[in-house]
Amino acid sequence: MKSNKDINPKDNTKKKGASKPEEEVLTDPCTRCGKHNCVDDTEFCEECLVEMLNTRVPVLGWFAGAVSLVLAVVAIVASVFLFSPSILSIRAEKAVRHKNWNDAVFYYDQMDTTLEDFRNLIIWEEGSPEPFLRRFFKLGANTHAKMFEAYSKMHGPITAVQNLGINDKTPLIQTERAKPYWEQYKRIENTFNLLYNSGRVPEEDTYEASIKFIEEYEKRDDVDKVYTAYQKYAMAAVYYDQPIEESIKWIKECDKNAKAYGTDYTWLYYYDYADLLNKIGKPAEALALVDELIADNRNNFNAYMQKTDILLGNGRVDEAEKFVNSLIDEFGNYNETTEMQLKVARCKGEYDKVMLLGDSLLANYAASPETYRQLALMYLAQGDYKSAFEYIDNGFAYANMLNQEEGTGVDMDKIMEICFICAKLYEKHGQPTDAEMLKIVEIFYMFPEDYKTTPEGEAVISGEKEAKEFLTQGDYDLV
Amino acid sequence: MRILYVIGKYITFPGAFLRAFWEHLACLLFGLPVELIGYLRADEMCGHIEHILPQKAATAYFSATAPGFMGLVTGLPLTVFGIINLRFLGTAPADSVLLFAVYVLILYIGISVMCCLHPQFEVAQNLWDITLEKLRSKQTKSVVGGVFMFLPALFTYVGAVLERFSVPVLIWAVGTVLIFVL
Repeated sequence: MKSNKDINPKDNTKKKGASKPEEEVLTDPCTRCGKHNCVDDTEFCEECLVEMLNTRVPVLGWFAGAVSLVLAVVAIVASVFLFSPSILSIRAEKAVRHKNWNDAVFYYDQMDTTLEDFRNLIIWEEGSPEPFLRRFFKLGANTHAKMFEAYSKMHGPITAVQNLGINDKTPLIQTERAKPYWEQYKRIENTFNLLYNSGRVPEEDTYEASIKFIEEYEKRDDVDKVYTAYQKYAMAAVYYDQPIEESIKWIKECDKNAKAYGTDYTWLYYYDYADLLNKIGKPAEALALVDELIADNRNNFNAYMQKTDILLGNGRVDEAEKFVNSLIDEFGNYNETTEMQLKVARCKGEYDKVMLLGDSLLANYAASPETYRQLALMYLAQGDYKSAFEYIDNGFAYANMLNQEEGTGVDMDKIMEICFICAKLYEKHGQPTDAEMLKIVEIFYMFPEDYKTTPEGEAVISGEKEAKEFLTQGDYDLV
Repeated sequence: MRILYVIGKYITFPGAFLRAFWEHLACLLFGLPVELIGYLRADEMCGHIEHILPQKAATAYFSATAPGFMGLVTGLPLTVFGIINLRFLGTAPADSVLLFAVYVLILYIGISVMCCLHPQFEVAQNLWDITLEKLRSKQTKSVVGGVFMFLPALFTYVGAVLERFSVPVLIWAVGTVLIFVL
């Protein structure tokens, strides 16, 4: 490139009139054409300079420039709208990296809602180009798959599929990230349909017949072997006369089959597995399983609650208290942590604190059967059977409501056992009114005539031991 | 070095073409004679317009930085838009192959524009020399002008040096991979 101080060929009047090529003496020829002398302080002649100052921009250049400007304006507007979902996506991914699946689900949900709001903004009237425009403000398959993964980690793929409304046509199922969860869901769904929609029901007349029925289907390749093993475990639970070893056998089969699949099935059977191990006196192994669940999901409050229960059930009250306090330090006061605090306080016999925590829990969320159960246990420990019965009756009503309306996994067995014990004790030692008596009869009606509750419960009902002995000195629960 | 430069420019040809267009427009706007037009040439002028170097500070400043500014104004939103849709919203071929291809194209154009923000080395050198000259000047007005020009001139100069070796292409390639992997 050449430099030029004052390029202004039009001002060069001196040379303008005398620039006939044939007459010009070339003392300083133009570096471009070589036919004329240069204009002062430049390396070009006047003709060349005029030509150079009037070059034409190619049409393609104008076109590209205009297109880039239009695209940039569209991109700026769209990016402003998409900025907030992007921040939510970053926060969700940060939560995923820290295995905070609960937070991840929360951020992905918010992201989806924000995008939905934008999509709705686009619809300004009937017949607008909405179907076309809606494509641009939605979760893509990759992020949707991450959301699906976070949901699956929190609640298992079945709940995830139901909550996110995923089906065979949803694009996310084609992504590598979603495939294991989707395939697991499809296997389980297929197995469920085979077992329950086959015109027969797995609950045959006897336990053995039920197991045989499930095992018939288990031979098929398209059946989920973990799910069938879990169904066998469920059968062992349905038939009360089965020894606990039977349940353990099937849960171990679940574990073996899950390892063979190489997919995460902990959401399906780990809680039951830990519970069983604890019941047969292997709390260390049970805690190891729960710790595995916690390591895979730092927001797993179900696992935290189970760990607290195991520690309390084994008389490790101080350890449980420390654990609950560490959770409060980390997460703050959630309903779950307050409930754990309440259990610890009940075990320690700090009944004022139990009442305080119980009231605060019920004020936050009245439909909490476990809180009612804990308060009933507290009154049992104090020998106030009337209050105990009232609380467990409420808890039972809410548990029924939750199970019917939301299908949530309330542990009905635990509620019913305490209901039975409270009813027995209130009938025996209290003075129930007619209305209460009616309720008591209704409760007994749900159990077989010769029904025996847990040994702890039987000991309390028969008067051999006081409830307080169990509830504050190590056994923690009557169930 | 020249090969590296030309390869870099050809890889980012939409950006190189647009850069040359904005430069051409700037030359016409600031009255700079253009020696040779050829937006995508296989030499060190690829993605640039060969024009006479201005000696006036304002012309030198604006003719060197204005095309880059236009590149930034168009390239950055396209890049951000592409990244948002492909990375954060996670659009994949499974959603729509056409939509995915459009987003990839937009991201590519955006990045290619961002790779071609700086002027040719001689232009940046010229601006840098003028800036230094102004800073060394004994006239207060010139020194103040030099101070204002200093950072943009330095940025332009460093950018032009890096662009000679296609370093921005490498930086953007690595950066993009990291954005999608992390």
